[in-house]
Amino acid sequence: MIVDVKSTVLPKILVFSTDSISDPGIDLAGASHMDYSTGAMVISVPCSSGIHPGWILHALKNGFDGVFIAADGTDCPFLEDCTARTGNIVAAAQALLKENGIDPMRLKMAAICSVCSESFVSHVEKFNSVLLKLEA
Amino acid sequence: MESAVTLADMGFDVALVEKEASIGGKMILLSKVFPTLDCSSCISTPKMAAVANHPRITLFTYSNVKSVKRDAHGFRVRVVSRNSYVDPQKCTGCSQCETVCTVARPDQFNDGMIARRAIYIPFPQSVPKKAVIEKKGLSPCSQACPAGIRAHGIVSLARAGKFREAAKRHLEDSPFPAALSCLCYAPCENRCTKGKTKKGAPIPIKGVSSLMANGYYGSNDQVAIKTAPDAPEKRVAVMDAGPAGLSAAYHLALNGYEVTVFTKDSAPGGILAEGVPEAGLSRELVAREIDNVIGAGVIIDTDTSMTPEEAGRRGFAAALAPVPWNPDLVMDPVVKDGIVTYPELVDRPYLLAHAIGWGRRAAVMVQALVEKRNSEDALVLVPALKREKIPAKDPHYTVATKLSEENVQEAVSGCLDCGVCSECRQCVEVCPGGAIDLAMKPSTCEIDTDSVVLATGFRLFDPARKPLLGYSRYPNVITAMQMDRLLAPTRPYNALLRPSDGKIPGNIAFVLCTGSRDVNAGNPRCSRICCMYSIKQAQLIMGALPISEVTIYYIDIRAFGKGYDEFFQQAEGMGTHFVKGKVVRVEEVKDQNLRVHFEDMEGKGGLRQANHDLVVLSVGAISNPGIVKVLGDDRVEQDELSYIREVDGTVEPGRTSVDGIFVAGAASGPKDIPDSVVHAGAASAQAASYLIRTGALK
Amino acid sequence: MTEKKIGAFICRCGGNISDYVDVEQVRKEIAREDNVTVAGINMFSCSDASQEDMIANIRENGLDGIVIASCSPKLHLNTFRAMAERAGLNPYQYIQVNIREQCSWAHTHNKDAATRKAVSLVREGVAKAKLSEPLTPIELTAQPSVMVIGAGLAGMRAALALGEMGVTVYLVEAAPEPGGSIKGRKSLFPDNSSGHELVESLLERIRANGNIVLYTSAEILEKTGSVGNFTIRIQVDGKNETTLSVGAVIVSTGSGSYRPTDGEFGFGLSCVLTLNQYIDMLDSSTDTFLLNGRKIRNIAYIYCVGSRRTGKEGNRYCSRYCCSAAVHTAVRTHEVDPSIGQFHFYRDIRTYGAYEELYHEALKKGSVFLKYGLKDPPQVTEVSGSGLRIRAKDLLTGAETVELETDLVVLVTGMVPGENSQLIDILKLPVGKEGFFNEIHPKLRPVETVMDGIYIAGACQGPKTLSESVVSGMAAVAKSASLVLTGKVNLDPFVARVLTEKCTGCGECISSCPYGAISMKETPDGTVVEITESLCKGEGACVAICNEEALEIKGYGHNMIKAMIEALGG
Repeated sequence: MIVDVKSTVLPKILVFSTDSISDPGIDLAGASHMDYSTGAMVISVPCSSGIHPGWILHALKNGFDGVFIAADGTDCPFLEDCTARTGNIVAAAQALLKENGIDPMRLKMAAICSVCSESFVSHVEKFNSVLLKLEA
Repeated sequence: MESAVTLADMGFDVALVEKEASIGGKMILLSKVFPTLDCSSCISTPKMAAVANHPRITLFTYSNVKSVKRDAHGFRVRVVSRNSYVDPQKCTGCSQCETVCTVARPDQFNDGMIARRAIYIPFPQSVPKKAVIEKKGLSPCSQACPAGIRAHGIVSLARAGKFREAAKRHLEDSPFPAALSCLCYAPCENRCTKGKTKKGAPIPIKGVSSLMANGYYGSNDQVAIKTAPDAPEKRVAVMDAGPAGLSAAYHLALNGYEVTVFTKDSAPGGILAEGVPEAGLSRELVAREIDNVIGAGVIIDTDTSMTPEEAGRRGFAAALAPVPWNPDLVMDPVVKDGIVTYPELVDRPYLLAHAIGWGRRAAVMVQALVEKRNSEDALVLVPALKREKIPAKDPHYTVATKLSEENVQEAVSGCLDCGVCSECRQCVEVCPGGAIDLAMKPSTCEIDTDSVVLATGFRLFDPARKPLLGYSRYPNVITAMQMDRLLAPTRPYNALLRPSDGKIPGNIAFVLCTGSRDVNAGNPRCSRICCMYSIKQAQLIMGALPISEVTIYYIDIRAFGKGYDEFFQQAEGMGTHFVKGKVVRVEEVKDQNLRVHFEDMEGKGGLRQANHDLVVLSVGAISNPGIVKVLGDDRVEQDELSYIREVDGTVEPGRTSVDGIFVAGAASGPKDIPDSVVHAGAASAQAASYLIRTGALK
Repeated sequence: MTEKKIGAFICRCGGNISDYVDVEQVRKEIAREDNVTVAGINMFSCSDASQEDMIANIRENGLDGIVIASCSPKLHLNTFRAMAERAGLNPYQYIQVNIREQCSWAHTHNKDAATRKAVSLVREGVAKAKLSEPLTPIELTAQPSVMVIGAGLAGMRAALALGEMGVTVYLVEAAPEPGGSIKGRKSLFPDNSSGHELVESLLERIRANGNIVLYTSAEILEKTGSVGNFTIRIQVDGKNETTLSVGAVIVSTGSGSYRPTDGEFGFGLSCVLTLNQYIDMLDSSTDTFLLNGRKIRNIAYIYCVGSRRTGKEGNRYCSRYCCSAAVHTAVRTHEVDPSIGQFHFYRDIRTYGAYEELYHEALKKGSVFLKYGLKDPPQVTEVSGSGLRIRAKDLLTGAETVELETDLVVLVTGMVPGENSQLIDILKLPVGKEGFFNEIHPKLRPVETVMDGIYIAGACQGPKTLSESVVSGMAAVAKSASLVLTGKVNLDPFVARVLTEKCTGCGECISSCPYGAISMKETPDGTVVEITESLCKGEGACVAICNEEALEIKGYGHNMIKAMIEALGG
């Protein structure tokens, strides 16, 4: 049950970032005045391997059109296998979305490092256009 | 950083002194690091934050250690915090100042490949994230001006196309931009360093000022007339409507004084009143300049005689009056009995700048008198002139050639920015926090410590010392540090391009052992890091530019650390060409491509050649022994290559020849990052053990 | 829960925010939120004056949660936490909302949209503040003692350093004698120091220091407890058991030496020795230099034996020390008898750093270096009567085949992990794919392991030279000293907790935790899991896999995150 969004309205994207790795990367995008959709909003957590799949479902049921996980990737300060673990979360969340009749395309993950500002912006913009297409 | 955090974690109070404006060293500038290809910034920034936030660490950035002296308790360390001209308490790191700064400098954090501004925040991840101004005193042109006009500021503003701002900047120092541009004998141009270079002419500062002043008066922008402030306790009488008197009145009015200028004449201006036609100064222009003075709120009372004594009776708090010119007397205003006197120009309009300067200085003295404070600090702004500096005879007018805006732009582009910061004050105006103070002074403090850890790292070999390799002669020969910057996400140009033409390089060569294992270059040892960083860069290049060819010319591949040889094998697997060969010469061929001549040690043998479109010199590490000099009597021993010697490299890592002074990281010899970090841990253990043995803890 | 009183402050950042976001609009909207008692605007929140104003506000209005919408928390989270503390608030009830780097600066073109986003972000902050609870960093006491396992040079030096700091040290060695691999060596590279003397002088200092207890022929039987408070049972001489309490453990068990397989480069033939065997021979020979009663005229060294292999045939890694050790040995040999011809079959000479000088010395003294490739390794065969014949392709002369008669072949063998399976089991040490112990991070935390309070040093972590082993031993000293000297361990309060009413006791989370921080607990109401806070790192791996949402990280609870999502999405 996605809140009906008028197509003129920007898709709302919830970004999960991580305190020490991807959040600084997103900060850098702003500090460099790179523009991205104002619909993208960030919640920062310690590590992407600790994102509960239920939160993703909760977001998509409560006003968000998409969820983007800005993962630690290989730069994770906690876990060597962070990427694999975050991948498992994505898989579990996607199963959960299917069960609830939500397009799994609404969830996206990419590793964003602390200086990956460009890559963050391009991921968000691409994701944004994917979501726009889904709305159409 | 590792030593500081480790010692602080053990419960010691640590002062960390860093010469740059941010901590982070060389590592924070790297793209990724071998052999894991971790993002360098992701590893460094948490450590930098840990240092900055540690309750037991006091951070001194942009600071230098001037001396270390042993005393009865330990060491007394004198730390000079270089003048940043920015109040760190007020700076929010917003970078607005950088966008308006008119002086560009090579960016040391991008190995000079691009420019930064004279006011700058080192890099996006800086800790602390505060701006600093690079300023080396006052530029000679500004220093030469008897009126205290920041000529360099005018020039740099003109260079940025900001002529209006230049005029406004001039008006902060004098109300006479047009008159000066016509009359002045331009000591600024005489002192211009550019004019002293082999084939350089001085920057035409008079011409620039003329264009600036005429443009300003030609625009419709009127000087806003201020009403004279109502400040009964700050009422000053000026008995002179000539340039010096008007200058004094102008500056006093700008500082909130209620100033009345009295003159017997029917019009103000003194020797300027009628203009100086032979110098190109019209009466109308003079009238506009006098409007500047009136605009500042000065009341001009013409056809009126006034004496200082009379002024005193009428309740003026101070009075200014000229005295007849006498070259044998002191050429500076004099304060006596509430009256400030200064020399009068009679028939020497070419000395206009001096008159303005005297007026400014007189104004400062009046303020000191009225507000009962010391005038020294303010007087520094307009230095007193030595008598011999004043031209004894008329140097004749040289009417400034009328320059077009383009001429000016071209001429000012040659400015060498001698003092770096030009004091154009654009940053001061734009800073939302009011953090910038060009009058700030450097601070010195003395720290009493029980032990000293030297973690001053290494320097990179300057490949210009191997001229056959073409560095600094051919644009497409770069150093590996430059390549690392080109590969970093926070890189210049935002792409991996070669310098000469911005082309994407398709065939890149690395020359290993540049300045290492080379007796002729003064470094017979191996630098330990170059093989690995070159392999790392090769992998990153092949990731970024999949069609590019990368060749590494090597003597031996020294991939000796944990996971390093696997990393080397991985690069081989990706298709990096490894050629065992010593590069003897690099020459430029067509299209600024490069031909590498190398001694082929494997395969066919003999001297061979290969063409590349970008050559990266994998420069070695050399010692950075500057710190040893400040240790005075406690100079630590150095080895043959000037690295700080560990007295017993086997069982006493980090211990120097001086009790209580320890060495951490690459200051004792080149090391890669893991080895440096571990070594810093060892040095901390040595320091801690020393502190506990000598009873310094608690 | 009593109604919270929250203060929300929007920062203009002197225009950096207010030029692109209508801060007054944000303030108005936030003031309407439930629980928001105060909504204010600061020119510069970080300035002393603004901080004093906010402190006064907190005290006057009895606020128990504050939100500052300003720059990135990376800049001022700690500033404002300290401010909250000065105002008498728990610092973890301060929430920072990033409306500069993640709003005003990113969206400079569209003030309306940026303002809307800022409102959502501050609402999210308020939602978080409503549910934030006071947290206190976990503080554990630490025993003032350290166990060092392995009395090689690194372990001995580490023990001595700790002893000199006044720390009680239990130095535990499996062998009957301390000293490790070098105790019999006469001349070590690079400075020809005597291994025997090094060990003896260290032992003397250790004995003189009253804080170090040395156990030889000792074995670790069991370890319980966690950082700061380990209890370790050891057995000495196979009979006497002792239980020791320590705050930290340094493992410095060294490495083994690669043993070539029979026939590998002629290994097994009487005149084919490993480098260590040859050095033993050098150390024990006096003036005569004989092998099997015959004078040696030629020696051939084959490098990288058991190292730098591809595929399955051997160890892939480089053993780091062997090139330098081999050229040092060659220099010694030249000095014993300059007439001996020495031929080095190498792949890359890795005499890195100052060890390069040894290589130069060997070259100067007449050593000949030939490069072989992995495709055509040297062949060693026995020649009746005259010793050995070595046949190889020398890549330095255009891959010409070289044949050489020699009296002795020295196989320059690398390091291999020591045999430590029992120790690994007891201490739960992480082992890398090559079998050496793994650090958490080679650059950030090079001597720490995922087991807090257990450090690794020396060649048990990977091949190292002697001095490098000592360096890492000393680094481990520094880390363990920070535990035992301060007597306490401070850990972030952001650790996992179990919502027992939701826990079904399925135990899935136990294996998900890389730090072994979760265990089962029997309660009257059934089996649930419990968290050992001192082991938890707070990354949340367990949170993600619990379908019941029975685990959460403090400060990032399910209810809080969901409320934040609703505030943002609404």
